[in-house]
Amino acid sequence: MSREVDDYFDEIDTKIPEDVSRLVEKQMDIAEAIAGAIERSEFKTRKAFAAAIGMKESMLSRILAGNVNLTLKTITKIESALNTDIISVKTPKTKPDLEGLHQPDIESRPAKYSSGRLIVPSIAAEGKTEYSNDRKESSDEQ
Amino acid sequence: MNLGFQLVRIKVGKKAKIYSIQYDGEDNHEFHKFLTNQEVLNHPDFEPLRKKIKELYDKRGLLLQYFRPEDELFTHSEICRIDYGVGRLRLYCIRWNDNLLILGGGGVKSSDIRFWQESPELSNEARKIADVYHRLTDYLNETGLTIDDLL
Repeated sequence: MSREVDDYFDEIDTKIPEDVSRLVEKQMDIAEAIAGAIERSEFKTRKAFAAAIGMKESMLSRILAGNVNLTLKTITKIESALNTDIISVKTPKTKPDLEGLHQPDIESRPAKYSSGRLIVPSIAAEGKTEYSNDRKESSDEQ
Repeated sequence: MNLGFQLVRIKVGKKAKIYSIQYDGEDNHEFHKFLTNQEVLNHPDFEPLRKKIKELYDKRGLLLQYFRPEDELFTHSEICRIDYGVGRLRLYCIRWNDNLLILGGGGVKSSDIRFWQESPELSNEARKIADVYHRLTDYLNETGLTIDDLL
């Protein structure tokens, strides 16, 4: 009864811009996180949850369909009502490696790179060791 | 009993199978018509919608929350639509079960109308997908076949 024809999606996949792809993925991730949190919550229904946070049920439905570009304000409102985290932010690991900050033998340490910038050890005025970057301004302009 | 259409396989993903409807005597299936509709292609929600469909069949499965009913025309929850954003671009479908999605046609609900029923194009597509659903269920009931027998 059925007839196999072609596969449009393989061609389509390659044409979706990266930013669009990421946006949709994250919207759907958030939608599923919210749906799961509502199910685990004290709210019996999505309708009850929508009413509790003063949101139209149709809007909640759109959010759960992954259709809404939610603001942080709305996300945190939902998180507060559900008493859970919907999203989390990774702490960027781009800080200079300050290990050995107070070690006196800094001259023996090699120069380091952090966040694409050359970080070189130096001695601050108070005698503490810190990493400075004399080339910062020039490299930022490039 | 003649269904008057065939189910055409579009994609077998990791999480779901996607089919479309090709009416007897027609060269293309309904989803192809959707994909070649210039108004659809030019709509800003077109690419997000394609991505959403890909997410469904390859990663997330046909979770109910992603499918929206089209008001009072459809009394069966299987008949629904996939959309994005505020829902101006609509693709009608039959979410047959957790693993099978049948895509129909769709179109753009222009900003100057409030209800999809005001759009002849959307009304036509919506009624077509509802008709396919009823024809399929009637056919399966009468023949004792299952949907898998048609795929």
